Amino acid sequence: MTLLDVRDLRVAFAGDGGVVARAVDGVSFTVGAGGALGIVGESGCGKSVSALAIMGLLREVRSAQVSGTVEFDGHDLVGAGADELRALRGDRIAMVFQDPLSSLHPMRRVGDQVGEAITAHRSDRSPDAVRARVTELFELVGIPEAARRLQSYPHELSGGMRQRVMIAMALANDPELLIADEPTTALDVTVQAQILELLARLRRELGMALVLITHDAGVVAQVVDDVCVMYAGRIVERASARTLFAAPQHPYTWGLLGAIPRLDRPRGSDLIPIEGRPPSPAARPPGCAFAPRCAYARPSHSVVDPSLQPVPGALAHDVACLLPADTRSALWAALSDGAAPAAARLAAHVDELPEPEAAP
Amino acid sequence: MSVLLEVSDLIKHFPARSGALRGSSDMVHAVDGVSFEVGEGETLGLVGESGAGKSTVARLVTRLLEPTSGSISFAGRDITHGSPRKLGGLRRDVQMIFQDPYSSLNPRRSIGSIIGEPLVVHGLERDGRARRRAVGELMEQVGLDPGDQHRLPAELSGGQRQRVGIARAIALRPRLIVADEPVSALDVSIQAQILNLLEQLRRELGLTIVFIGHDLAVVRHVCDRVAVMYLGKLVEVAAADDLYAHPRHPYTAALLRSVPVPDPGQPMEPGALLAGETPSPINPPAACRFHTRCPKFVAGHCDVIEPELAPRTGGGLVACHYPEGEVTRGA
Repeated sequence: MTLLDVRDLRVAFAGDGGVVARAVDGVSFTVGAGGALGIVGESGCGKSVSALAIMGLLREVRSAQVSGTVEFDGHDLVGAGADELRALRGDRIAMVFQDPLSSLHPMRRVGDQVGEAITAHRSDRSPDAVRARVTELFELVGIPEAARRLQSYPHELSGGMRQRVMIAMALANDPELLIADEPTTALDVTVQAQILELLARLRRELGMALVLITHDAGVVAQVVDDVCVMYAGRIVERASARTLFAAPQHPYTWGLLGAIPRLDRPRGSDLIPIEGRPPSPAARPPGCAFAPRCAYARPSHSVVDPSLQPVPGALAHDVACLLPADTRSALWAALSDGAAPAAARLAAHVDELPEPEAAP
Repeated sequence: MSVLLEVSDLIKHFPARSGALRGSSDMVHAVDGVSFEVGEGETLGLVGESGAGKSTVARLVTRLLEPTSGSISFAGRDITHGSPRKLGGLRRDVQMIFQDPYSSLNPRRSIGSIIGEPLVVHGLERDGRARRRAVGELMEQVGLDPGDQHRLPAELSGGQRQRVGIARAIALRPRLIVADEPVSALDVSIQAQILNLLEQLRRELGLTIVFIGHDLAVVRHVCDRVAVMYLGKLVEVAAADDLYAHPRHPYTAALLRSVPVPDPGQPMEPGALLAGETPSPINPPAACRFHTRCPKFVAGHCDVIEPELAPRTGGGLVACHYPEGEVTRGA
């Protein structure tokens, strides 16, 4: 059953001198009840802005124009009134951000702040019932000495503990959907492992759906069922996590996977950087936005704008790439054998592909 | 391989609170008896989590901080103390690359003047034209457009700014570079560009590098030998291949198990994860500092007798009474 249905989400920011930055440029995805979707990409790809738009958190931002539809269990979040949105947010949908310190009030005890997340939606709860629930939540997210920790101020807690408080706050009303934006990026690796395990356990035990936004391919591989790869405001590839890591189709996805050193590969494997850098949302290149950095682009790829299309013969795997499917397979096979991008381009006969006679 | 850098029993304690009137006598035991050597041409990795003291080691080695005690020698010369003037040669020989290319560059100076500044300070290129030419060559060497000398740091991307930081660090042809989390602030596609650049410069210039990082995969990729720090102490030092394939210290093993592998077919084992968090370096645990979190903790031993950094099987050093993958004493 579809819980969250995002269709053609667009967010544009009006800048100085009429420059429009298309931070999110037509993003569509769905998350089933209890499912987990990862959104991967680098800075500026629009992954965080998408989350803010879904949560209605860009409404106060005057320069932001949001369009498209976001349906949560039948409620239209883009068109919803402020009251309807407030009733859903923090109750049935919750969000966790990267930096817990800037999301917590520095002068108030963490127990009170989490308690408020409950009373905001359950005003009939007695103070005792609220305190009992907060203690239970602190225990659920693995905060030791929970009853005592209720009295702490944010600055008295470590980064990992603060992130647990934020997750406790998000879970206060048993949300059906949690949107987590880089929830472990600021944390040490052993603490990150604990938080990832916590998210997995909460999904199992509470049946909560998860949208996990991250730049870290490892985190995505360990936590989610399905993955969207974003580049320059769009989804360029979408598949199950298993399929995406075993048989990625988009050159940008290959680039992301080839650029990271991996502990599960022999030491000394070369890193293959993606040349150049991502475009500014205010200056999206014509045609395929990745073409200027793509090691396999043809001249026409800077003219024709690819749309997300099913991968032939694959189940629930979509890619926005102008290369023919068999060429992509040949390229990935060559890269998997350790070929450098230029050699893979030769091996897959990319330069022999027919180009359109005239640009459309 | 001759030893270029030798650090012996280095200690750095800071007052826990700044402000003399607070009267606090608490000390942060940031670095607490660290010894290691780095051979000429070698890349040594220093890994650990927050509070391990790795950045403090970097600042001690580059003499940005004065050690509480211990000694540092560079190319056989004791450089632990001494005024900047006396250390003049050292200032050229040892350079640092910082994590944050945003905050380590003066925002009001052009990148040409930032890169050229060490040449001016050391009186190497007094002639403006010669200096601009030297700066242009450095920029080319790190993959920047020499025509961009007039631009300001704010006009550059994070990766380009880190290239500026690297160009500045190699301007004086140093022998040792201490790189403190040089790619942590960068996107992964850019991170690979900078790691490859460092490797290329290391080969071309014969650099010795101390590479400080928290990303274990990055450190393995870059380094010949790796030292693992926990709460101000070294717990294990070994050749990168040995350390990653056969971690002996339980902390090293736990760190490696915590890294999420980008393969859904290799899930993490929740039971193997480390519980709790690093204790405060103000009152670090007695004896073995890892004993409060260690899955192999033996009461009456690990919390009483501090394990020495001693030779480990397979080479290298480990500070543990009950190392992984070895027959434990008394068993």
